[in-house]
Formats: sequence, structure tokens, C-alpha cells
Amino acid sequence: MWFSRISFRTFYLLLGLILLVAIILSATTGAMDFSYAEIAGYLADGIGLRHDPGINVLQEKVFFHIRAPRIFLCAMVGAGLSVSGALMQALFRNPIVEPGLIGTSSGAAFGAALVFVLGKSFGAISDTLIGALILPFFAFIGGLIATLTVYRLSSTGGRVTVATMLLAGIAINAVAAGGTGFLSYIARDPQARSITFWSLGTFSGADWNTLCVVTVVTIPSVLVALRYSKGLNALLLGESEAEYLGINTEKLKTRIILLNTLIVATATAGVGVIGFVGLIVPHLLRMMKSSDNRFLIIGSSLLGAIIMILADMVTRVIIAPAEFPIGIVTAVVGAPVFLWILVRNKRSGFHGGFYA
Amino acid sequence: MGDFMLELDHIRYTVDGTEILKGISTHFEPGRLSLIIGPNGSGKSTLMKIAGLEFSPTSGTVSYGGRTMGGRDREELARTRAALSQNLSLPFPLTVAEVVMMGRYPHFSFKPSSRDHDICVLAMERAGVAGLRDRNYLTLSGGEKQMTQFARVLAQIWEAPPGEPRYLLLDEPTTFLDVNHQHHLLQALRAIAAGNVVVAAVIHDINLASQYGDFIVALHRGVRVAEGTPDEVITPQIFQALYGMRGRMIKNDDLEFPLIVF
Repeated sequence: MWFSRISFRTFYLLLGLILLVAIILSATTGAMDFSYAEIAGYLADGIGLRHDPGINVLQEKVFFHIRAPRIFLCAMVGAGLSVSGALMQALFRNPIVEPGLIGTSSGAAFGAALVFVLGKSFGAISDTLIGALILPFFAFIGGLIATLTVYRLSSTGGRVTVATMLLAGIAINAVAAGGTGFLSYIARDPQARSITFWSLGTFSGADWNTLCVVTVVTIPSVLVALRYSKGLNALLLGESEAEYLGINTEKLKTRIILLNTLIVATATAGVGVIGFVGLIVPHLLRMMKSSDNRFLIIGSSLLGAIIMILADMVTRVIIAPAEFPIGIVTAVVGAPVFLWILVRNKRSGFHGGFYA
Repeated sequence: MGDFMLELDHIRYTVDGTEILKGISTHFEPGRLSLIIGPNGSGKSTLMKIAGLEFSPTSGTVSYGGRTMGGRDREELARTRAALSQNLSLPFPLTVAEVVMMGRYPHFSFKPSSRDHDICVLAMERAGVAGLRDRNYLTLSGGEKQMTQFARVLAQIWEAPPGEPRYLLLDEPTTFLDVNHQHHLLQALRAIAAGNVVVAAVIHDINLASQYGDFIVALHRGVRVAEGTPDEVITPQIFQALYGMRGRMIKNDDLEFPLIVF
């Protein structure tokens, strides 16, 4: 493919430019449309560069308090989920793994719902930054338990059995979704009451607090993940080969699962469960250029952000001024891609890791 | 150069009540090509995995250059010791060059240096896969994959700090290779061993072992039946003991090594 001939740096630059365009496009469209001139005006005003007395204060507020955090949250969550997909695929040595499939997301959603619903009734959490931190913490615990359960059940001696993994994932997802459904049913808070929030995700509640928490977790996690890209590559050869290459595979696996759960849990606590992004993005990158994990991690952050911003734009544009959950977009696009990967893998009969 | 020896001392290995290795002692010296022969199920691969510290023996010790090693030393060992296992598979498409670069992983922390790139090129040339460098590993033939993995382990121990020993362990490296490549590989192994490297490989073909081995260890049901030079080990008696088949020795003045036909 054409992409395989350009250098990694050019490729990242290209994705960076597309991301910029996506951010600008997304900033202008939605329930309230802003022109480029208006946005420039708000920005200039916001950083105190130039004060324009004719500015529409309401619109400026909408832009800064709703639109802007939403776009950046999309970028962060998209990057986080995609990197997490890449990490899990390397760990499971399997291209069809993603956080939604192996229980991480639904486990995290259950943990978050638990504290959201029960915590609210006890008045333990509030709309402060501390409140914004308690949620991800419980989401992390939930996601970790779910992921570890699926991983333990599906791997024997370091080799993951795909069928068992999928079945274990289905079971864990069902348990977690059942629990979350019950909680949302008994909840009094309107947001927690909406089961769609937990199952299909939405960015409609985006604010600076959530963005803060997600950013503070996602960016360092991705940077740390980059340090493990060599180890993850070596792991592709199998655990014993990785050990011969000097990698402590037990330590690597534990850290990757923790890191991955942290990213996914924080994202899920903020915006609910969004499926398939973590599956498609690394896969597209592999097709475009390379399976090297360093490339996949950097590329997934950029491409994941782009795709999430565009998907969110779609949810705001199609039935404007109303909007629908973003999980619908990612599922409608993602599920066919998932099936296509399955069929293609079956046909080409990848030997070894995949159907081991 | 005895200090660099890879030594196995009274290795026993039991799994699920079955004793696979029954107290094997042997040693692999730098500068000579050591080959392990024996029938299926004789414990060759297990012995290789124990020598590589992949398995820990039930009893007995493995020492590298006089130092008893354990799993903790893996990271340090990876810079001077490479191992090639059987049945390697990759779940994702990587290029040959990317697979070979993995051999340099123990030597750099984040980005490969230009020296690492140079070594990969040299290793690919030595293994005869330089022409495949941009090919997708998954689309290679079995033999091409094997030679690519060989290039990877070569790159891993291409050079060592002065005075440091190097070790190369291979489990049936000639599988999937045609006759030409089998000889090419064994010649390469001899050349590497000559550079004062400990090279030990499991091999099925008795005559290849006879032609290229400097030191041969014969295993049978977890017991070391014989060890020594090809002339000492490749005999009709030992052949019969190992495989339960009668073999005829061919030795004439044109051949520097014994051959067995059956």
C-alpha cells in the first residue's frame, strides 16, 4: 500500500494534520453551529488576546464549557481506547481482542455505576474533582476484575484460546451488564438512570473535570505503554522467545493489564462503554503500514482520536439539534469490520497464534 | 577457554511423575560445534530448554562460564546468549527486517542505533535472507521463516564485549530446510563456533551431525548414551542402541567423517 512507502514520521505528521482538521470541523458543527471567525473570536477573547465587545456571551459559554471539552474528551478517549486495543491485541497475541470484548469496559462500567448509583444515594460523591476521581477508581477495580477473569480463563501456559476467550468475554459482559442494568433501574439520578449511557456511551456530559481526569490518566499511560513496545513485539514470538530476548514476561503482562485497565476504566467512567474503536483502529494501522507495537501505540493515539471525533460529530449532526449515543456509530461501523477480520483470518488461515 | 563453558551437571527433569531426563551431565565448549542426537522422545529438546534456562531442572545445575544461572539472570544473559526454538509463529504480519531487529532488543532501550541496523543487515546476509528484508514474515515458506529466525538469533549475539563469552542454542534448526539450506546452516554454525562461541544444536540427521559436529552427545530415553567426536559416537552399535535399527557404516578415504546407511 501507498502508506508503507512513507516514513513513520511523515505518517504521524499526516495523522496529526488530519486530527487538527477533525478538531476544527467538529468545533464548528453541532446543535449550535459556529463559524471559523466566531471560534477565532472566542479563542482570542478566551486567552485575553483581544476583547470584542460584540461577542455573543451565551455562544461563547457554549463553546468553552460544552463544545471544547467535548472535542478534547473525544480525542483523549479515542486515543485511550485505541491504544488499549493495541496493547490487548499484543498481549493476547490476537487481532480480534478489544476492551469491549474481553469485559474490561463492561466491568469498568459496572464499577462506575455501582459507586454512581449507591454513592449518590449516600451523598458520598459530588460534582467536584474528588467526585470525578472516585468514579474512575471503582471503574478500575471493576475493569481489572473482569479482565483478569477473562485472561485467566482463556489462557493456558501463556497461549490464549480464542474460543474460550470470546465465551468468557460474553459471560463476563453479561454479568456486568446485568448488574449495571439493575443499578440503572433502581437509580434516581437521571444520568445513571439512562441505561444507554452505560451500554452505548455518550460525550454529551463532557466537562472540564472529566476531561482533566481522563487526560491526566491517558497521556502518561500511553507514554508508559511506549516503553513496553519492544517487549510487546518480542511477546509476538511467544513467551519463551521473549524470555530469551531478556524480557520478564510475567512482569510485562501484569503491567500491561494494569495500564490497559487504567486507561479503559477512566474513559468508561467518563463517557460510558464505547465498543469497537479499540478493535478497528489498530487493525487499520496494521493494514496501512506495520504491526510494530511502537508504531501501533503512537498511530492508535492519533487515529483513535480522529475517529472518535468524527464519530461524535456524526451523532450530533444526523438528528440535530438532538443527538444519539456514540456507541451506535462505532457499532454500526465496527461490527462489520470485526466480522470481516474474522472471515479474512479464517480464510488466510494464519498459522499459529490466532487459532491456537 | 574452559571458563566460558556451558556445563550441565547431573540434570534430572521430572514432569507429572515421568522422568524425562535421568541425571545427564555434559558440557558444551566454545570453539566447537556441539550437536545433540537421539530418537524422538529421548529428551533432546527438554535438555536444550534446560540448558537455555527455559525450564528449571528438578535437580542438577546449569552453569555458564562457571556461574550457576537462574531465571533472574535472563536480561543480562540475553546480551550474550541467543536461543532458537521450534515451531515459532507470529500472530501479526511483520517484515523480515522487523523480526531480525528483535534480536537487537537486548542491546538498545528505545531506538536501535545505526550499529544495530548494520548488524541486522550482516546477520540477514549471513543467513541468506537479505533479499527478503521487506517481505511479510507470514507469507514466507517454512524454510525462509526458519532462516529468518536464524538471522534473528545471529543478530542477537553478533558481537560481545571483549572477553565476554557468547552462547547459541538451537532446537532442530534444520527442520523445514532443503538439503542446500541444511548444509548452509551447519556451515554457518561451524563458522560461528570457530569465533570462540559456544554453539549447541539438536539435530535429527545422523549424517549431518557426523559431517559437521565437533562434539556429539547421543541421548536415549533421558540417558546420555555416548558423547565425543563423530568417530567415537557415530558407530553401528550406538546407532542400533539409539534407533533400534541396523545401520551400515561407510567410511572410505574420500570421506573425513563416518556415514551410516540403512
